[in-house]
Amino acid sequence: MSAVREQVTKPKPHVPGEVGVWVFILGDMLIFGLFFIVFVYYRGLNVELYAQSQATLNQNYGAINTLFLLASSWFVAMGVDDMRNKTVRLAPVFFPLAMLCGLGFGVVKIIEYSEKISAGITITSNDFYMYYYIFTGLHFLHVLIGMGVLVFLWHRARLAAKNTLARDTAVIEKDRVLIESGASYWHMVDLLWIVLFPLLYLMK
Amino acid sequence: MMSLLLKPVSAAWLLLMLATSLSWWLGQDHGLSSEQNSNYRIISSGLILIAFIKVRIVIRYFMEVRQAPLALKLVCDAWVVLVCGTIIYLYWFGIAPAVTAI
Repeated sequence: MSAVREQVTKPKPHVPGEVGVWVFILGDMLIFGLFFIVFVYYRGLNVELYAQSQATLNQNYGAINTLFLLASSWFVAMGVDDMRNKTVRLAPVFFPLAMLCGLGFGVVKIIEYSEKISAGITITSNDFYMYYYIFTGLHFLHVLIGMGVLVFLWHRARLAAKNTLARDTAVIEKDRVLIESGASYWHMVDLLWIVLFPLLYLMK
Repeated sequence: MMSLLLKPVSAAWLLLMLATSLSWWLGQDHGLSSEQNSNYRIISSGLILIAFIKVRIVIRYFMEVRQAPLALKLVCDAWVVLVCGTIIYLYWFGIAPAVTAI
């Protein structure tokens, strides 16, 4: 029993998903890393303006959206885990649940944007809002792409659940690479928001 | 279903939710950011630090980098340390505008 557990919890080291996807993920992280640094640098040159503008943001929206993405990431991780089995049962449920959380994120984001815009706060209002709109906007674009990725994962999961008999080692391995690639991208979307939340909403 | 909740990734998720709630609470104005109290800089640095600890948990457990080859682990950790370190450095010390150097 303990030997079996060992095997389950400690598989051979491998890059999760396609190496190419990781090149893209790390490139994206590098760009956002520079965004974060640029933001903190310019903030330091005009702390009062940034603090005043930040005070108009609703922290609750930022926090709820963090929880949405974390829950979504957990569902995806569970789905990925289930897809490694010969018999897939839960992944076709977990991926849509993850999408539901992504949808929740989008709804909150749209409510937030429309509140700001109707209060006359736009991308040209000041430097803080410029960064706020550009960073959250680019991140939102990542969420939208991610939702497309989740649709694909859901599709693979449904196929896998139907074709238990055809799921030999090669099929499972092919699925593993595809599913891990998509999942890694979705987790990166979560990861970037985890930093954006304190940077834009909380840091005093 | 119960076995899913016992997986390490679920423990990681619980920790992430708790850390987010802590940040949410810390970020509220408890009178800590008033002028009498200069702790807000410590708290802000703490919030950034918590965020990057969360990021590392996401990388290790959700993105499964803890099972990845050493090179990927190192690249990810380098990103976490460099970005987090630079943010906290700039937050505390900033950099004087280069114009004055001439």
